[in-house]
Amino acid sequence: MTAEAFHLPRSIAEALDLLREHGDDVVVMTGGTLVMSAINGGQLFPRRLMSLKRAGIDQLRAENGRFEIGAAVTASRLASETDLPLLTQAAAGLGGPALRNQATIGGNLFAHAPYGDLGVALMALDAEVELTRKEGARTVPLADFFANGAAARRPDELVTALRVPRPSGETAWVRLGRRQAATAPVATAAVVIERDADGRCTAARIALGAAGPAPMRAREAEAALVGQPLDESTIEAAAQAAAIGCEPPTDALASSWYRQQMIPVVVRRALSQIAAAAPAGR
Amino acid sequence: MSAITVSFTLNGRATTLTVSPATTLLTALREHAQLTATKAGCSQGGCGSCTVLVNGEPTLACLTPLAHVEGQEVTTLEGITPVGGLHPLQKAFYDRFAAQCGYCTPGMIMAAKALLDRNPHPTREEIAAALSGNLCRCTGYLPILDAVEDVARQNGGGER
Amino acid sequence: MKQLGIVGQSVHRSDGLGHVTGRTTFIDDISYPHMLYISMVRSPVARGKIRSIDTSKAEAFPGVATVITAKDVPNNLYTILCLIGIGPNDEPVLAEDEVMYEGEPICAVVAESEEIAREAASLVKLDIEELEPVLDVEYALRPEAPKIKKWGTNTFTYDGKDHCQIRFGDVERGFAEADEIVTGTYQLSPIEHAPIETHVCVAKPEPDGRLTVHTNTQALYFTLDNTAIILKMPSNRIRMIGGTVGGGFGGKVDVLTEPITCIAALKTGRPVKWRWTREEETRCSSTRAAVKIEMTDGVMRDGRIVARKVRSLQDAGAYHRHSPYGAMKHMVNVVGPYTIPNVWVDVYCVYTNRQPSSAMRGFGVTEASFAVEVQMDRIAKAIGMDPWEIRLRNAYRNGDMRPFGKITEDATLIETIQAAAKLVGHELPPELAQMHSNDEGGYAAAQRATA
Ligand SMILES: Cc1cc2nc3c(=O)[nH]c(=O)nc-3n(C[C@H](O)[C@H](O)[C@H](O)COP(=O)(O)OP(=O)(O)OC[C@H]3O[C@@H](n4cnc5c(N)ncnc54)[C@H](O)[C@@H]3O)c2cc1C
Ligand code: FES
Ligand code: FES
Repeated sequence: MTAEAFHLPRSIAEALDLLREHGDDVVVMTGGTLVMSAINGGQLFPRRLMSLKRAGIDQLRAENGRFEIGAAVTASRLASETDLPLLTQAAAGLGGPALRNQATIGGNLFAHAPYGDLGVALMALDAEVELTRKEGARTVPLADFFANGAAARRPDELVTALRVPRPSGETAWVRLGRRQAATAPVATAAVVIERDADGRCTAARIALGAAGPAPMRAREAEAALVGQPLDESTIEAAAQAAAIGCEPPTDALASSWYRQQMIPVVVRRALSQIAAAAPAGR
Repeated sequence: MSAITVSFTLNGRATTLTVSPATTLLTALREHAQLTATKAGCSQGGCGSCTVLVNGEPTLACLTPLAHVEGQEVTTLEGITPVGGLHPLQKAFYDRFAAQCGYCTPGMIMAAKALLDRNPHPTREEIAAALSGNLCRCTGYLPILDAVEDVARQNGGGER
Repeated sequence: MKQLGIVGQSVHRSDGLGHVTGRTTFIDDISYPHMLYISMVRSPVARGKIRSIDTSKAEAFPGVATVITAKDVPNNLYTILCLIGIGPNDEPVLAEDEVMYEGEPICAVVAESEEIAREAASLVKLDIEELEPVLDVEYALRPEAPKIKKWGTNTFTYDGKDHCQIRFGDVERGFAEADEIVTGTYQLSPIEHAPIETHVCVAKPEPDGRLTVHTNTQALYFTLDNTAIILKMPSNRIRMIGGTVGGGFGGKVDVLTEPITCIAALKTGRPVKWRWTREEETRCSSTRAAVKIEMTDGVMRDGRIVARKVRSLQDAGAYHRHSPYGAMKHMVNVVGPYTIPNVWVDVYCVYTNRQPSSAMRGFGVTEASFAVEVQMDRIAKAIGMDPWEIRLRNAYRNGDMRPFGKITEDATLIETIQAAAKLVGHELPPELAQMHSNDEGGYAAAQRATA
């Protein structure tokens, strides 16, 4: 049987009830960009569809230096209504303009590699994801959410919001594609660096996209930076370390091998951008 | 077979369509509302030939479930074509040879319209960015940029 | 000169108003009430033996009208080249006992909507014994490679040979005399036409037993003839109507949608539409052939090319389509627009288990030009000559014998290069600027004298 129903719940409570009632039979979407292309492409044959587009999770609030972003907020809105570094850049470069009007931040956490640009930015920003089920909500650091290479969502939960602190250090976003716009990434790096008065890195967060099944932190590269000045040899060491443990996907745009070669390139470029800018605090 | 009923405004007219639940806005427009200007190039979000306006914003009809436009305002190329005349963008595309095979043209014009409604005098770079989700295999894009730039200039911009 | 009415004027396209208003009717814009849709089940492997095809689940799926397999095709041979006398026919309309490339059509599910057809198609069970595929042209020619074609080789047969060839003059003598030997290997990947409009066909059975067929083919009469042969139906019973093509570039000359859509319409008695997905357009339509060209030239220090030897492999993919013909076009063009007294060319039309290649904008020729012109630059570099000069010195002139046995009558290379030099502001030395295609002088004449 082809699809029997399309649910457009008006609240998260209603959505959670439907999820409980229909379990595995229901395919969840928010913007629908990935779900609808899978249906059109003959890869997905859902019995029931449920869209969270009208479920009241599209607020965008700045509070005490933190952003609270509803899961249904689109990439276009992130690009125009937030001023968070990395996230704004990631949102502005996702797909084409029309796709950005549809693609949501919640759906992006479930995008298959090489997609997942927003997740990469969020990870570098040390964001937290809010997961809600009937019994209540829990908040998980994004790094833990993606720890096993895939979004860790329980079957009865929905992603309802993201909480994003404003970063205190310097940032850089580098996304390499085969063309300049509307294309999946070959490799992506999102970097946040804090430096002391001597220019030594005191903290570093590097998140990589298209480097594995889900966005990931480059912990070895981060370790190579901390305590070091951001000079050429440190940057090179961090860039090389970034490729350790990566398992990039192969698709029509790039092979896994090629992506592997490009990971140090994007990390090097991102760190060089920061190094070239005036050091923080001086 | 199950069906859903969706009511929305289509080119200014109240419209109600009854379709199977997973039907896209694209299929609904072309096969249920018989408005065939909007084209299906990939049904994967990759080409932009299905671009329509939803509440004035460029939207890929192939990735939009019809259910999503309940209560919304949808505009297609048919909706911006004046009776017996041409929209300035249509005239410019015609004069500038911006349509060769014509298959990408409806999506291009709708994406350009969304841009000009928001920003009446964009630069050439801004035009290129606004059309970056729309593929054309025939023209090489330059005549299309020229056409939109012509209209931007008529609006008093496009020089920067 | 007589005043021209149109040449030199900018004239609006006759279809321009339709395009900008969206009123142009493309084939996908044509629908009939009560119409059915096709979704094709395709081979998941590059080469294999079909053990069985189980369509029962698909047939039982609600909304499915019928499933079409090879048994339903009256004459299950795709035959485009038989119309110009080239055989043997090698491609089934629907695979029967073997599959030769990933994406080869196996059976068509015909249903009330595309959505239903797609889901039902996913329920067809294929039992295919996978065989080692041949994916590389050089490997295909090796003795140990599996022989994938029914006639026992991996090449098209031209006059009893595994290649087509040119023999002109004595290349070995030319190489012996040459001051320099310049070699180059040139390879191109397959290229997909990627029209924004995919293949679409609509077939409607008429009460008088005829079929009305709308198709976005670029080759309407080829398509009519081939469809008639496949359906075993007189062509006057098929009303084949073309239309505006939403991008073709040579990619819509193979008769890939019409026969199946007609069979579905005849079998169900209802109008049927078959509209390819983007994935089908990319992976299952024809492409430009991948080629590998090895070129060796004997060159004199004064710029004369005295001998050229070429070995070129054209990847036809799994079936002929237009590739045997493309290989012959390639053969005559790989000498380039230059007069060379000693020429040896071997072109192989090689079969592999890849998506078939076929026509695309100057197929065979464009690839040859790429290799020839890069080679000309290499030659110029090897002997330290200006790249403009090397081309003008060797340019063919009217009266020159071409290596394939035709006397040149319409040479324009010299004038074209001179015009190009002007356009880019490159000043040619007087001797070169005064050359003419009717000249008796130049190296070509000297070669004619020595050849
Ligand atoms: C042409 C094209 C280009 C693209 N380009 C990019 C790109 O450049 N960068 C990029 O990162 N991505 C890209 N994408 C992928 C995708 O559009 C984005 O990742 C988008 O953000 C996904 O959001 P969505 O709301 O549309 O997802 P949906 O399709 O609605 O959902 C995607 C998945 O997430 C699940 N899901 C959605 N919302 C929730 C929720 N609230 N709770 C739990 N599960 C949920 C769904 O069940 C589904 O499995 C592209 C896609 C297409 C078709
Ligand atoms: S048809 Fe919608 S983007 Fe191609
Ligand atoms: S005019 Fe043919 S695709 Fe743009």
